[in-house]
Amino acid sequence: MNNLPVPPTENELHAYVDGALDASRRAEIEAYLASNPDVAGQVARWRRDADFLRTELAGTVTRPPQPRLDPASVRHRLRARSRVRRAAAAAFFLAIGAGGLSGWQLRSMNLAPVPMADAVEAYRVFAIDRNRPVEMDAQNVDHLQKWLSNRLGTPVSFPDLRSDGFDLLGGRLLSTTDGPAALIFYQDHDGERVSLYIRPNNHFPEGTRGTRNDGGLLAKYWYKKGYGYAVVAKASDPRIEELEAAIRLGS
Amino acid sequence: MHDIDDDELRTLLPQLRRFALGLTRDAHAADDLVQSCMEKALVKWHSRMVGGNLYGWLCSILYRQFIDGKRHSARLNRWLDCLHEEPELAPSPEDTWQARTSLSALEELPPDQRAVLLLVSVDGMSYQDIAATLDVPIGTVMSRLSRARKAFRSLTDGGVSQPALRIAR
Repeated sequence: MNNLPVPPTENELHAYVDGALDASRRAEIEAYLASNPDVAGQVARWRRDADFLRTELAGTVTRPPQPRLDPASVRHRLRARSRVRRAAAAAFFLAIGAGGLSGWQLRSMNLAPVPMADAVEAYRVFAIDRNRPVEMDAQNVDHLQKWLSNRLGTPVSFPDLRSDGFDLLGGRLLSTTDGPAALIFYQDHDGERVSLYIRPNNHFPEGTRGTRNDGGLLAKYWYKKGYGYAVVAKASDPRIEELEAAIRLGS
Repeated sequence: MHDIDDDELRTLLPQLRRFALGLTRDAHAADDLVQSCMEKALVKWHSRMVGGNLYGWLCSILYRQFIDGKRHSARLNRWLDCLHEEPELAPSPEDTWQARTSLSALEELPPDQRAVLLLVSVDGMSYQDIAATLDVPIGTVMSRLSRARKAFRSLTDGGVSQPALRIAR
C-alpha cells in the first residue's frame, strides 16, 4: 500500500504538461495517468492547446525585422526625441518671453511641435476677424492666385466649394520658419468659415495624413510634393469631411 | 559596450514581438508595444538586474505597458518621431492575416491569464521566472494558469485545433 503513488494535485498536472517535474515524480504521474484515462485525456488536451499556441505563434518569430524596433534605431530616436524636447522647452521660454501665448504654454511643456499646428493657430487668429480675415478678397481671384502661387513657389488653386455651400472669401500670405505659407478662407451663408492652409514641408514624410482635434478646431492635413495642406474648421462642423476630400483631390 | 547590449537585445526581439502579438493580437499594436518597451528598457537599462533573466525583464516592462494601455503615449511618440524618422513600415498583410485568423480564443482571456498562458506554453518560461516577471507570488501564477487552461479549453472546444479548420485556413 505504501508504494502507491500519491495522486497528483492539479498544479502537478500543469507542471507535468510543462515539463517542470523531476524525473521520479514525472514517472509516478505517468503511471497514474495510465490508469486514469479521464485525467489523462484532460492533460492531453492541455498539452495539445500548448502545442497549438506554440505552432500558431511560431511563424511570427520569422516575421521580417522592423527597422524601427532595432536597438540602434531606438537609441537614435530617443536622442532625437530629447533634442525635440529641448527645442520645445526653448520654444516655451521664448513664448513666455514674447508675452505668453497662453494656448502654447501648457502644450510646450509636454509636446514637441505637431504637424500643422500653425494652420490651427492661423485659423484661430484670423477666422474670428469679421472685418479683415483676408488680405486680398475673392474679387481679385486671378491676382490672388498668381500672388500666392509665386510666393509659395507652387501653383495654388482655389477649389470650388459652392456645391458645399461655401464661397471663396480670399486669402493672405503668412510666414513660417520654413518659408511663406498661404491661408485661404471660405465662408458659408451663416458666416461659418473654413480655411485651407498651405505651407512648405521640410519635416514630414511625403504622403503623411492626419486629423487633429485641437481646442474646438478640427484640422485635417496631408503632405504632398513638398508642401503641407490643412483644412481647418470648427470641430462641431460636420461638413469638414466632405470639404477635405474635395480639396485634397484638387490639390 | 552598447554593441554587446544591442546584440543581446536584437536576439530577443523576435521572441518579444511574439509575446506582444500574443497579448495584443494585432501586428501593428504589438510592434508599437515592443517599440515602447525597447525605449523604456534602454532608458532604464542601468536599473536591470545584471546577470538576471533579460528576457523576463523585458517581458515585465512590456506587460506592464500593455496593462497601462499606453495608446496615448504611443500616439504622442509617433508624432515626435514624425519629425525625424522615415515613415514606419506598416505590418504586412500576412502579419495582420495571421494575427486575425488564429488564436482568437486568446482574446477572450483576461490579460493576466493570457500572459501566463503565453509565457508558459509559448516561451517555456519557468513558473519561478513568470512569478518574477509578472511580480506576483508563484501561487498566483499557478491559479492563473489553471484558469487560463480551462477557459482556453472551453473556448476552443471542438474548434480551432480541428484539422478540417486548419486546412480551410
